[in-house]
Amino acid sequence: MMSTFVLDEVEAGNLLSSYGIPMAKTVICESFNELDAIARDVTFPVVMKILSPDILHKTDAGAVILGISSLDGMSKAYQTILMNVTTNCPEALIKGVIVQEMQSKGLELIFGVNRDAQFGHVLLFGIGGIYVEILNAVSMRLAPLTRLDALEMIRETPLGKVFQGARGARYNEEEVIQVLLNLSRLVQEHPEIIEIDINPFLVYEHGKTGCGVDALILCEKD
Amino acid sequence: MDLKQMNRLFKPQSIAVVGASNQVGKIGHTVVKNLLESQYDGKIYPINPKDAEVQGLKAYKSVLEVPEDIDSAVITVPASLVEQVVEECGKKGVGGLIIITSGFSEVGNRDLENRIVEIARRYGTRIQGPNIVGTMSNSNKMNASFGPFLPFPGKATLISQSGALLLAIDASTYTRGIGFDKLISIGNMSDIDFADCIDWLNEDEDTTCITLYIEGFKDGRKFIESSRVAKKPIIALKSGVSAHGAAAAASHTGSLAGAAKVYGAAFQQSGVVQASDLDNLFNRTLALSLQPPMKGDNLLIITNGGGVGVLATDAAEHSGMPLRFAPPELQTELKKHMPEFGSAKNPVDLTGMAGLEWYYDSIRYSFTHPWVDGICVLYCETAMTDPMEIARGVKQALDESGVKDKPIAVSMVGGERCTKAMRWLVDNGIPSYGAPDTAVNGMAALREYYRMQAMLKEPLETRREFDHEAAIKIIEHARADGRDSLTEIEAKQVFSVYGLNVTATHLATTEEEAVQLSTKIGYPVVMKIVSPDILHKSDAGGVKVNIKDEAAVRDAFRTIMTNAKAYRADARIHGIAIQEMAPWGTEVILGSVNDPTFGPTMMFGLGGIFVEVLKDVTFRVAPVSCGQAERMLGEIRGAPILMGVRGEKPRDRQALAETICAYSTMILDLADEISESDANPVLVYEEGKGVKVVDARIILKKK
Repeated sequence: MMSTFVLDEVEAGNLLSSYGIPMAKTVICESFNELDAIARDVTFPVVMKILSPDILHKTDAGAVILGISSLDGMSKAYQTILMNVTTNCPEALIKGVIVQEMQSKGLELIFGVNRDAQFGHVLLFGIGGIYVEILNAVSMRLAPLTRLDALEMIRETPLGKVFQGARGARYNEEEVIQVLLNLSRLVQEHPEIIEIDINPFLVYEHGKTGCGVDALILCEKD
Repeated sequence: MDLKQMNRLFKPQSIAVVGASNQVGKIGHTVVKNLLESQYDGKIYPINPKDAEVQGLKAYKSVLEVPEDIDSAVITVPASLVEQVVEECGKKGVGGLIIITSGFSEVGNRDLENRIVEIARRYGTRIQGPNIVGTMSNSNKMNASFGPFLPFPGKATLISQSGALLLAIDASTYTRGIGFDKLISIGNMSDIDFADCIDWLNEDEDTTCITLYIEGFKDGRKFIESSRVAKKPIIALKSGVSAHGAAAAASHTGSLAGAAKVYGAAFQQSGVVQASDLDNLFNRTLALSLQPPMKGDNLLIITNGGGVGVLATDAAEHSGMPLRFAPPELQTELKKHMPEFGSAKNPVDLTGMAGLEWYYDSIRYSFTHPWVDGICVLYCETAMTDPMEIARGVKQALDESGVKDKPIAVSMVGGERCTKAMRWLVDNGIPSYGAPDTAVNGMAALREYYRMQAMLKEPLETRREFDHEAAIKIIEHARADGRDSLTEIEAKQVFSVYGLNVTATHLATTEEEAVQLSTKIGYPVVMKIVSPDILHKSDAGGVKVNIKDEAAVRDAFRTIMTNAKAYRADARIHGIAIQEMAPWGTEVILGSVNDPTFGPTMMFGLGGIFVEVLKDVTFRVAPVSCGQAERMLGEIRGAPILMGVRGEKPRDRQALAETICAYSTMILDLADEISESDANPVLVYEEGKGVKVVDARIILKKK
């Protein structure tokens, strides 16, 4: 049995950012005293959630609070989250509370990588969000990707049309191509990566830059 | 239906050929030659103004000179002469005309076509064509066409709108080994259309399956009516499914209602099996023309090879009837007819050692087993077995099982010996195919046919009472105002007339009124500008949501008015709509178009990304029964969302289905008034809590 470890969303976000993939600004708060400094560093509104390898369904555990717009709100949220987690998941290991800048509503995409037993790294792109399994509107290619591969991946999903609409593209296709190429480069340089999941990655109309909101990376331990 | 004249047209005792000729190369020569070569046993009267004899037959100058009755006349003279010929045929009392001649509406010559139809109607004569190949009939030994020979004989009848395709199909029936009794070319459909042919073929004892190649209908409703009551399977291939009706669409629904979707809906509702391409049309026709419908989902696959078994398994799942394991007692029996390493689960793998006996025993036993609804027999050619022997074994097993109401299909993969064995099977009424997935697809057609027939038995209940006059009054008020669309408030009033649950919405013309209405509806409220000149209310700053008290209402009233005037100074402003703020629910969209072919047609889909990016919508021609509406809910890609995902409770599907039903009643009742409409969004709450129409739009037909 291969042994594995998971990069938490902060670590995963940092790794992806370092490969040029824009991610929503996320910081870890490890004690109540740090809130003040964090509040001065982020742009409100923010989202706060628990950082724990043992809690998969954070919303169900009452460990996610949205739309916080002040230091005061952050303080309350911090306490509420910790209290809920202590009640609902008393055994969970808690690494801190995440503070993340809240993103406005956009088109939700998913980017993923899976290390296939036969073919090695396979990249995935498609419609993201909470209905990703239901829609199953995704395309796949083996790494490494060429630019043309990335373009075809986009265009063979139903999303292709919104990136090259007849009346002028609504969303920036180049942005998506770059994410795919960067992901491809990342897994080329890190064969130990088994899985990457960026969902949702939000893109916007009218040239506003998109970013990944939630990410998870699974690696092989050597 | 005038079956008597159609009988004379399609099964004539005597045929006149107007334009009959001795000159090789003329169509009038070919038709007489074809009639003679096909050994037509009725009387043939060549009509030719100059020659006394045509190809050895006595000729006449006009149909009026023929001493006896004429059932049918093939017309091959130039378009300019057709009018006069139709007049003469009418006087003579000919039953039906096969007008081969082209140069009518297909080249824009609509008037001439209308005139010949008018003349024929006056005499009660039916017209097939114009612009056609003719009719070929094996059971009548009649080739009344310019096609070279009768098709490979069989039990299906093809009706084709394309002449060239009919000729090509005629030749290919021999290479494919798929037979037809008749090939009927209907061309411009000036008089006889698909529906007429279906009505007639329904009574024709030589036809067991009606196969259609369709380019477009003139009257979609008539087609639905004829197909719904047909007693035999109908299968259709529709071509030209792109960019239909979408050009001038004013609503969301209009832009989504492509021909493929609307025709698909109509086929569903009339029990017509669909073919995906020409090969599929042939393969499914073969199964439908030879086998009874499949009454349940339990398909048993019996094979001598694992590979073809897996291919068939994949195909079964792809065709919407995933395989299930055979019940234990069936497995126990089947185990007796295979070696130790065989499998009795399903696919039943008799292994490569299987000979005639194992095939015979397992088929005979399974076919009588009540769990089995249909069988697909697969065979891979082996050195030890003779395909013909296996074929005979299959046939014998069926005959001796005594079962007649379950279907079977065979696939033999191999060389020439297999081809011969499959020909033999088809001759003996068992559809056989060279590929396992094709055989499974044939079975799927028999299953689809049965499913749709069961659906057609559902009553098309008429909806509860509604006040037609009240709806008309609202619409007439808008028309009197010079408008061809209703405001949101008017549209919601119309919706309520038909029992749709809309958010309470009232018009306030003054600030005071706004406050009073808000108090009456209950806070929080939504406020929206009402103006026929402002379609995109949000862009104009004309919408405020979540207004919680009187002060906020006053503030919003002033802001919206100011914004609206700034957006468009000359906009006619009716006032501001005060609307109850509906709690969050799953967003869906309902809509309608008045399709040029099928009339009022209903659309359903999920809101947001589902409709905008995925075009995940489904259609039905109105009226839609509640049973059909429920099926619509299950047809879209996002269907699981209505069942409740990620811990949500299931949505109120019943209320939604009833809403679709009521909506369809509305568009049918107001078919002369509504051009397009939508309810977007409709919020669907959890089971038992109903639905709410939040926004409504009705675009009127121009008068």
